[in-house]
Amino acid sequence: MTSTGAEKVDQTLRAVLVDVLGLSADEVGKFDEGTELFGAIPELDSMAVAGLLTEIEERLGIWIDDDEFEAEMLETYGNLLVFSRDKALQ
Amino acid sequence: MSPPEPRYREYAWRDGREWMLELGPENGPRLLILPPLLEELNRSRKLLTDMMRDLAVAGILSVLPDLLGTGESLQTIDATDWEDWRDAMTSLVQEQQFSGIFSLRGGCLLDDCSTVKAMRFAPVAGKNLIRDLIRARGVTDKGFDAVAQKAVFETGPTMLGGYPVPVALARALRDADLPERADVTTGRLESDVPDADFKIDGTPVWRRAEPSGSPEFSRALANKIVDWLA
Repeated sequence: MTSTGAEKVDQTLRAVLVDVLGLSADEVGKFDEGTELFGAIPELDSMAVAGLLTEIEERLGIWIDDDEFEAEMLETYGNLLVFSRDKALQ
Repeated sequence: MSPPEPRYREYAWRDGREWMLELGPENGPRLLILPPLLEELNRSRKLLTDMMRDLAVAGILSVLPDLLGTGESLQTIDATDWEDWRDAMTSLVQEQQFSGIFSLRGGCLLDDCSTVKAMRFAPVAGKNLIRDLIRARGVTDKGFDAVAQKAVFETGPTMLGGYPVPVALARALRDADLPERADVTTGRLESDVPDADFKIDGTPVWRRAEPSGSPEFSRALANKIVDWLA
């Protein structure tokens, strides 16, 4: 895993959160690994989750199988980042 | 200047009648809007009606039909199939003379109902739409496992994004690709990866939980349509 690749995944995820959820770039810029997502952010309803995953797939050029998806990966920003990095940089 | 007056009218299809919203000068060029399908429609309606207001000010009459079983339709979705949507839109374009068709997201799957020029924005294949809906349910419903997901296409109807989607419609949607047609221009969001004839710096309101619209986005779409129809 290169640091530039890892940073690019981080930037892409933050951009997707801004675009899909309509959160401000400032707010998303302050997210850290412990920031809670699903259940903590009102904009993140189930349809938005599906949209979020689709956008992540398209922008990172990855495919998330349904059996790979677990609710835990959306619990925190850190979980989502680790999952996305593993998929994108494997 | 006072805002343009909306008119609720009916269009005929087979034996039935459905509502459509019409906005803009009666003598203006007529634009048919094919809205997104199912839950994405609800999230996009504000964007579309804001766009219609901007179009009306620019002298364009636009028509936003209710697709059967969605919006304010009298028909229920579980009595609706894909051919109903196709037939209804084909009837509408035969009944009225349109100068162009603008379609958004899943609405693009129906834009071969006429041969007039078409503009697609953020088109999506049916299989991606149904996958999003199934995934959205799976996120919150632990019981919606692989067996239940398969049943969407076999036993249904299945609640997806608030609609009890019947089997035939789910299957038809899964198999629906963007129609091959002449005279089509495709737009996408700046953030979209695929190529397009034009891009607009907007937000994917069809994914948003809060249907607040986006005035800059709807205005940019309206401006694009005005140039394209001219």
